[in-house]
Amino acid sequence: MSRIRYFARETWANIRRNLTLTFAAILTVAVGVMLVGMGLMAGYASGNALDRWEGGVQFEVFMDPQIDPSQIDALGLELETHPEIDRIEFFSSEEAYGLVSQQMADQPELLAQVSPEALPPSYRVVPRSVEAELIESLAAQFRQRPGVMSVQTGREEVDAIRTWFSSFQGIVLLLSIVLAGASVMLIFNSIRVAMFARRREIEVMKLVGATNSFIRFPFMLEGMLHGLAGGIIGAIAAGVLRGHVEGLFSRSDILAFFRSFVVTSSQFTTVVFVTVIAGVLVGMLGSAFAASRFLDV
Amino acid sequence: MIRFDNVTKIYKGETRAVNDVSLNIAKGEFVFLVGPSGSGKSTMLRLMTCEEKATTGSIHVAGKDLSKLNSWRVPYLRRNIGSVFQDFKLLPTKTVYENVAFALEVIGRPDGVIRTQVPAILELVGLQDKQRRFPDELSGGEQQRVSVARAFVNRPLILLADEPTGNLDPDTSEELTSLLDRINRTGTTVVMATHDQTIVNRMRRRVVALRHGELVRDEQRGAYGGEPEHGTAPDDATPRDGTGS
Repeated sequence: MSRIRYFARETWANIRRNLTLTFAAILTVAVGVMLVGMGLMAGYASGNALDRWEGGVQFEVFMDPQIDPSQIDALGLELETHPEIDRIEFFSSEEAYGLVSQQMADQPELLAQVSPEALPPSYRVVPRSVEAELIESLAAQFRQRPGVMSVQTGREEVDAIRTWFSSFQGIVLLLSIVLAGASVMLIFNSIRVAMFARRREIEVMKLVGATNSFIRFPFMLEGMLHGLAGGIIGAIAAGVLRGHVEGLFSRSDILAFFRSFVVTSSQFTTVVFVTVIAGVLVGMLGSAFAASRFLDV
Repeated sequence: MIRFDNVTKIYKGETRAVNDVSLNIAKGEFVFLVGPSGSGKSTMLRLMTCEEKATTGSIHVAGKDLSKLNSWRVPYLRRNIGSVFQDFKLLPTKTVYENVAFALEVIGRPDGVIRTQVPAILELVGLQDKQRRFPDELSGGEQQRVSVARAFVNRPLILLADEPTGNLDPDTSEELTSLLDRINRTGTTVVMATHDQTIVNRMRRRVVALRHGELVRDEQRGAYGGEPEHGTAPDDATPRDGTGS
């Protein structure tokens, strides 16, 4: 009991004594981990939106929801035996509904208006060659078939978007590494200042036989709290950003294309978890450095 | 309780602070460590608390060979050693009670122990009425008694005092030494490094004299300069009676 009270008291005293540096450290951590969160969310969003274009899929043939099952099979056979087509993958209405319900997990009222029967079954098609002309001519061929509702191509745009997202992620990652470094240094310094302010206490503690870990603990705890506070603020900022961006996409017609770029709640939970943990790790790292540098027997 | 075997301490490869000293202090002894400034008294005390490591030779304190002591065990050694300094080393932001309680708190003693031990030790040093005062509201002698209380509150086997009367007037010095004497009578081994010849001469306890890091005299019931009734200046503590070395 006396121990817990001691640690709480000392840690709080340290934070209070050193408010400006503490704030600088916390805010740097917050911005850094927010960037981590953004990068993560960008990855999730592009992944969610571009899921169906995985594995070399170049175009998708959507069929009329009321299509006769025998027609589906006939079309499948024709696609499969086509000399220019490597392989195909079939998605039934139910499977399509599964995907939609995943993406709309956050909008149950919208999802309620969708029924599996209303969704078109589809074939995802991987042609032997990725030449744009060939893909266009294939798409045009199948667009005319009975029972086909539409054929969507879009490989080039998809590749462009994917490149854009991955370079965005790269920049964000780089920035967050830089900020993580800055955060570690700031926390290192703020812990060092705290130790300097308490050097008399530390001297007495060593004198009367307090263990190193006991002496270090309040400082480590302080660094961890800096990191935790930064992590939480960063996660909140990432949440606000997510809501803002999604709002922007849904209001604007120009950006309508991005509407499929959503982050689901479970993915966002992961983002929050990762950002907070990243903050705590940064805090622990900075304070551990300081403690090992300045607190030897 | 404390044993030095041919101990030499060289600082930074040059200064020979302690040179080939062998010394054995038994449990319950009261020992004055005397000698001019720079003779190695403080280094001797720092070697005992493991703040410094001997360059050569071996030191045993409270049954532990310090050269073989893991650094993580050093704090546990220090719990058996109380230390008192010339400058008191009290924490100005804490009251008398808190200063003493701090020593128990930081080695993880339970609340109950702290609540009973601290008032008891403050009564022993005669400061039971000043528990809520801050160090700067006390006289030098009172401050030093707080620091003795802090050093002794955990009932250590050994009490080391480095010039504890250095900042005190003669009467106060006398009081402090008699406090250390009382502590010694509880069975605690006391080693006191001092310049204060009046006290050394009055107490008639074992005297170990150092000069240039060498042990030059070691006598039971000794005096500061070696001759009881004839004091010498602190910086001229040459042995004269030849009983030393």
